[in-house]
Amino acid sequence: MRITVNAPHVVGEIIDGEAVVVNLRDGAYYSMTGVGATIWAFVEQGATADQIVESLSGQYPEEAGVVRGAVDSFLSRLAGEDLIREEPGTAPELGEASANGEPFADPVFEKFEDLKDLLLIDPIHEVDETGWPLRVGDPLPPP
Amino acid sequence: MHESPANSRRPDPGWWPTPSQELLLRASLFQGRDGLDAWERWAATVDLETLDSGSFRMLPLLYDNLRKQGVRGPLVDRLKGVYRYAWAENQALFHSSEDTLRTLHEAGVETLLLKGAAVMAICGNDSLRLVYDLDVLIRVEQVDGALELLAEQGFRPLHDIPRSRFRLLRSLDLKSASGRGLDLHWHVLDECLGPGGDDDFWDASVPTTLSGLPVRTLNATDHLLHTVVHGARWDETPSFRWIADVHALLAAAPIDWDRLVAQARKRAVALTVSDALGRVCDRFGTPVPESALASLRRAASSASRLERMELAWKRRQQSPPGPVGFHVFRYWRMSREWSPAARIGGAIDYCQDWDDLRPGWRVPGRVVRKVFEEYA
Repeated sequence: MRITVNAPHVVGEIIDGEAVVVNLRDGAYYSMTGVGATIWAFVEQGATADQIVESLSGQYPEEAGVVRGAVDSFLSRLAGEDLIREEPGTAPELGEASANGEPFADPVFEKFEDLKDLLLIDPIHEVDETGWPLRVGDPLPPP
Repeated sequence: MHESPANSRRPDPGWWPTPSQELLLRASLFQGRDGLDAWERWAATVDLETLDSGSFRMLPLLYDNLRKQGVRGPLVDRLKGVYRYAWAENQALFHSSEDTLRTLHEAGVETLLLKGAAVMAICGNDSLRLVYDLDVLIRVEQVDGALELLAEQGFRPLHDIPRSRFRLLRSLDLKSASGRGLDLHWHVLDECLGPGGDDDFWDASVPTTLSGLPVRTLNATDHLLHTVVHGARWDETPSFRWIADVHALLAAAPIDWDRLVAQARKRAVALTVSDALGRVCDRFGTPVPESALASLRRAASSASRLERMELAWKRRQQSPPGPVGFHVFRYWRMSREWSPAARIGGAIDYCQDWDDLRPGWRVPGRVVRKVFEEYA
């Protein structure tokens, strides 16, 4: 089975190695970096779970033993958030998606519950170098 | 939703970008040494905290250009946040507009997307700039029905405008209870308010999608005409992003230059288009074929005296163009094809409809007062 973005109510974009995803149905906003962003890039291409595992195992040969579990767990969490769905179909030819040499870490996402509230944050005056959607001094939401 | 950052400075009024805004445009549009030089000079002199609102709307495009060139730094990280914001804001707007458009379509109201959202659809990038509202063109004969449907969805006009004035306007700004903006257009250009003024635009429209919803929009050539004629005029908040839109359109789709020249000539805006595109080419190296510029210059050379006066009036760099000029030029354009007798009668109707002024004998007094207020 292929895994795809749960469009049209889920939209995402890879911005300089970070995947930002919005569930327009419930207004949740997600940010994924590192391996999480790489997996999202594969999901956008409609990859199968096996393809994702194979690619990541190639990128992190020393972590091959834990990649399968990490990918399955992350995909399960994404499905639990209604962000992805399975579709029948053959495995596609995949484009490039890599974590840019970052060390392997369990893929996680940060979830912000309400996009409406986030859009009230001034992206110039209420933020620091971390940038919107975090206000100055705001902690990251728990992964 | 921020119309602009709360503390941002009001931009200098005018129609052409200031030197700082020109640098921002160069940094946003150019790759390589030219773009990076502009970026470094702009970043060294500008304070994001006091950035004008016109420049703020360019920041997503600036970030997009910088990231493609691998530029890094704390300021770029902050710009990335603005880009994320623009992307999320636009997604929310497009998604929430789906139901509105679907409702109009199901009721038989034809629509064409205009301006920001449409240009981004043509360019295939949802984040190039912040779009605060959706611009939708409908047929002029469907205005009342569309307004009723939109009222049922909670949209209200931003300004109390008499219905009699609608025929003298191109659009009406609406806002939903949740603050979502929708500009309902029944004409594309202020310069073409007459019957059939938009037929060519409708006939040559093309399909696209908004957030997955099939919609129609102007073709790239007509978008270019609209962008230049609408953008290159005096505004309290100069929308110099029209220059970025010109570059985006030229990069995204082939332009039918013969059509552009023909449409500009037909609508008596060849002078405006020739002047604006010529300046953009000079200052920003915009890739407009020399043959197209030459054709536009030829078309512009036959512009009437009133068209030249109108362009000078629209292009004042500092003081706002006054209402007398606004009405004189608007009426001249509406009545270009009329006989002298029809023009005199039409002028009374125009004044009555603009101010919903009844009976007609009140018109001369009102006109004298307006002229006195502007020039005294």
